[in-house]
Parts: sequence; C-alpha cells; structure tokens
Amino acid sequence: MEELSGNKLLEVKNVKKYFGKVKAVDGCSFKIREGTITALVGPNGAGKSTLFNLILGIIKTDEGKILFKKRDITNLPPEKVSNLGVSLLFQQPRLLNNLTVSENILLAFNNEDTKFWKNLFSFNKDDRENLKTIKTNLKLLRIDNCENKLVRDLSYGQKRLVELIRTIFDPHDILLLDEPFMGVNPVIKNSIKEILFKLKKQGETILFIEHDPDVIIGIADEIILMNEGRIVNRAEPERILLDF
Amino acid sequence: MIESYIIHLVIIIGIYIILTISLQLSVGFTGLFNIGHIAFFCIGAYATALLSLDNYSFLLCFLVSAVLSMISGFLLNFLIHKLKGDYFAIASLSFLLLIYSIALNWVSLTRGPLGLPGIPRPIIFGIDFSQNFNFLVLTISISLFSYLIIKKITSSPFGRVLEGIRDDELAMKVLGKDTFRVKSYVLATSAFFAGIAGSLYAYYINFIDPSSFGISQVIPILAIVIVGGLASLEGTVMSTIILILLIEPLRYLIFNPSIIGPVRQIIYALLAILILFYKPKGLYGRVEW
Ligand SMILES: Nc1ncnc2c1ncn2[C@@H]1O[C@H](COP(=O)(O)OP(=O)(O)OP(=O)(O)O)[C@@H](O)[C@H]1O
Ligand SMILES: [Mg+2]
Repeated sequence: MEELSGNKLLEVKNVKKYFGKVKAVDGCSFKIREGTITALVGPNGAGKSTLFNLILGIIKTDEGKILFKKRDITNLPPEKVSNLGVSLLFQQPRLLNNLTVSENILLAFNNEDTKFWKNLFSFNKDDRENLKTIKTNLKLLRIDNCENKLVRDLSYGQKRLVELIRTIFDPHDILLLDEPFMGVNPVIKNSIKEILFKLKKQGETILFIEHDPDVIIGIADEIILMNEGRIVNRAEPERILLDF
Repeated sequence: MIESYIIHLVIIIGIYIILTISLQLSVGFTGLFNIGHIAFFCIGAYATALLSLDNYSFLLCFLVSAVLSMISGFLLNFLIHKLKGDYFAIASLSFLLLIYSIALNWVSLTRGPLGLPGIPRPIIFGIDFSQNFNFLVLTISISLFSYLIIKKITSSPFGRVLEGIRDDELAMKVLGKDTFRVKSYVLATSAFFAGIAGSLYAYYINFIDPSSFGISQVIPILAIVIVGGLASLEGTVMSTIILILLIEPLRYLIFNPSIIGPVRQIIYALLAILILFYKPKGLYGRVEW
C-alpha cells in the first residue's frame, strides 16, 4: 500500500473492538498524513463509525493503539481527545435542539464557558466577537438570518450544515466527518462540497466517511477501503472506484 | 393577625424560592434529576441548629451550613456523576435516605425523632431577628441574592454548557467540555443554596426534626419545578409563589391536622402530573420534559 508524503498525524495500530460476537473493528491499521484528505469507504456495518468512536475515546478499545501527533491517545476520554485537536462530526445529528443556531456554534469556539468563576464575575466579552464570525460564515453558506432560530426549527439539511460548521469551529488539527452528506438535498450537498474544497485549499487534514463516488473524486487525495472491521485497500480515488 | 400570617407566608415563600431555584439549576438547566435535594436542605438546617444552640454567631452558622451542604453536593457528584437519568435520580434519592437516617438515628448529635427545639433567632448588628418583620427582610434579601447569582450563572456562557449537558452530554464532551467539572460546580452550587435555605428554615421555625427532611418533602419542590417549567427561573419563582399561596392556607380548611401533610402532597403531585400532561413546558419553560 502506498502512502502520501507529509508528517503522520494520526496512526491507528491494530485496533480491535468486539461487541459480543460482532467483530466491529478487527485489527484495523492505517496512518493519516498531515494536510491530506482521506475518504473512508466501506459497506454498512464495516465498522467505520465504530472506528471514529474509538479514536475519540467514546468507546474503549479491546486491543491496539491510537497515536495522534505522536501521542498515545488510546482510550483517553473524549474531551481530552477533542482538546488535543480531534474534531468529530457524528453520523447522527447531535445539535442541541433547545438552543439557537449561534448558541450551538458558540459552544465550539473554546472552553472558557466551562470556567465557573470567570462566568460568574465577567460579562461575556468573548461572545460578541465570535457571534460576528458566525454571522459572516452563515452568510457565506446562504443560511443567514437563522442564527437566532432554535435548532429544532431548522430543516434537516440546515441542521447538517450548522453541525458541520460547529465541528469546524471546534479547534482542531484533524476533522473526522461521519457521512457529512447523508440525507441532504442537492443544494445543501453543494454547500458542503464548497466547504470541503475550501478546507482542502487551507491545507486541513480530513478523514471523512462517504459512499458516493461522485463526492469523493475531486475532494479526496486517497481512499481507505474498510470491510469487516479491517482496512482492505488503500489508493488514490480513481483506482479504487474502478473496482467498486 | 392577618398581617402576621402574610409575613409568615412571604418568609416561607422566600425560603422555598431559594430551595426551588437551586433545584431548577440542577434539574432543569443541567438535567441532573436530583431527587435528593432535600438532603442539602437538611444538612444546612441541622448545621445551623446545632451551632446556634451552642451560641455561635449567625454569620458562622449560616456560612457553615452553606459550605457543608456545598461540600456534600460536590461529593454526591463525585460519587454518582457517571450515572444518567433514572439511575442518577435513584442514587440521589439514596443519598437523601442516608442523610435522613443519620438525622434520625445519630441520637447523641441530633436527638433523633425528638428533634432540636429552641433554636434562637439571630441578632445581627443589634437587629433582633426574632421580630418576624426583620426576619422577612433578611429572607427576602437572601432570596434575591440567590436568585441573582443563579440567574447570572444560567445566563452566562456557562449556562449554555449546562443546557448542552442536559440535552446531550456526549456531544459536549466531544466539543472538549470537561462535563464532570461542570457538573461538580452545578451540584455544589445547588447544594450551597439549599444549605442556605435550610439555615434560614431552622432559624425561622426554631425547631427541626427529621420529619421535615423526608422523601415526602421532595414532592412539593419537584412539583414546583415542574409547574414552573424546565430551565426557567422566572417560572420557578412564579410557581413557588402561586403553589404555596394556593396550598398553604389549606390548614384552615382542614380540621384534622394529621391529614394536612398528605393532602398537600397529593395536591402538589396532582398538579405536577396535570402540568406534565397538558402543558409539558410548564408555565414558562422553553424545553419539554
Ligand atoms: N454499541 C454497539 N453495540 C453493539 N453492536 C454495535 C455497536 N455499535 C456498532 N455495533 C455493530 O458493529 C458493527 C459496525 O457498526 P458501525 O456503525 O461501525 O458500521 P458503519 O461502517 O459505520 O456502518 P454504516 O455505513 O451503516 O454507518 C455493526 O455490525 C453494528 O451493528
Ligand atoms: Mg456509520
């Protein structure tokens, strides 16, 4: 298997996770280099989402190691992994329905909001700057005027976009996106594509799960093919998709 | 006569407001379904009773009550923070049972079921709080202070994190929030204010015994929180006032004193159930149960 150049950012080494008899992830190994965009492809139940959950420490590995920026992050709790620079978009929507769009996105910027005493005695100066940033970004995506709407009142596609933006604003060195295009209409699909292209230009490192060859080609630098909990192939998109 | 009854009602309302808004902070804002909140109230009341019977000053009794409760809130979170939903509720209820049975059975300290009579009202800077009107002013000032602090907490970015934890704790962790630490602060703060309420209660009633801190005492405050609406402080204050004004005067309609307690609890519980059925957001809530 060939690999692109660049420093390795994320390294998964022989990771295993069984749910009873189901071998969800079964000796999975791969590396992600800095500044590359990788598509993780595989049939339903191949273990892709489970792999993301293992990287974030949402579930514990049975075996194997996960290194990020040369640090062992195996089984570290999610908030620590996140703060080291891993940002995750879940496969299922996980926005906070009872908060507004901007409140949801503000949560991503930093962790000053978890400081009890600071919040008790200060006057939220941080928010104002960040709100401006949010506003301009929503405008770019043509979903402006929704920042004060409750998330529960958005359409599915709008929610997906907002959640993607929240994931991107979460400070990170790698983005893990679990089927960002799932279930959205063509208009939103284009917006999401635009975002990914922009991130690619900025040299971001992204690992995203996707089934549609149409989106993968043009965005991904390479494809990792996963089946039955293992990486079975790895190559440039055009090559693998021919065998698909 | 009527005037002194009104003063009495307002004092009770003031104490209850501290108790219910501090419960709203953990239940409504953070989703920590704490059925054991009365335990903190109990700790605060007993601390004040025991210390003031030993002639310690108001400030000391008051602060020790608040801080002891706060520490127990912190400890409770430490012990049960991994539990969610129903499991958290049951564990917090067990905590109440534990505190209650200590109050009942540590006879050498608490005099058990006999309770602690003769708790002296404080004198602060020469002001005698055995005058009910003075005590009323004290209670209102402290409730207002409690309200403002909890309001500031919940309307700051910290409050956003609380609502995030209530709605999806894992999503908060994945955004990098140390939810354990945040929940520690919440339960400690919630307990701090319940302890304050307990201290005021002991001073006001002059007598405490374990029966004021049993499971049955949880029903009114939970009902008030439900009726007020999830994550609404204004609603909680309103529902505290309305429900107490509605239910407290029952004692004048019911002549058999032994059934007053149960009747009140039944009414509180029925109101809570009705609200859950017909207006799940409560009077002022934005969020459904
Ligand atoms: N918490 C769990 N408990 C039990 N089994 C699980 C759990 N999570 C995942 N599985 C199983 O592990 C296997 C891999 O699931 P996973 O969600 O990782 O697949 P996936 O590749 O993301 O599939 P999809 O493309 O449908 O999202 C499946 O057989 C699934 O049923
Ligand atoms: Mg999946």
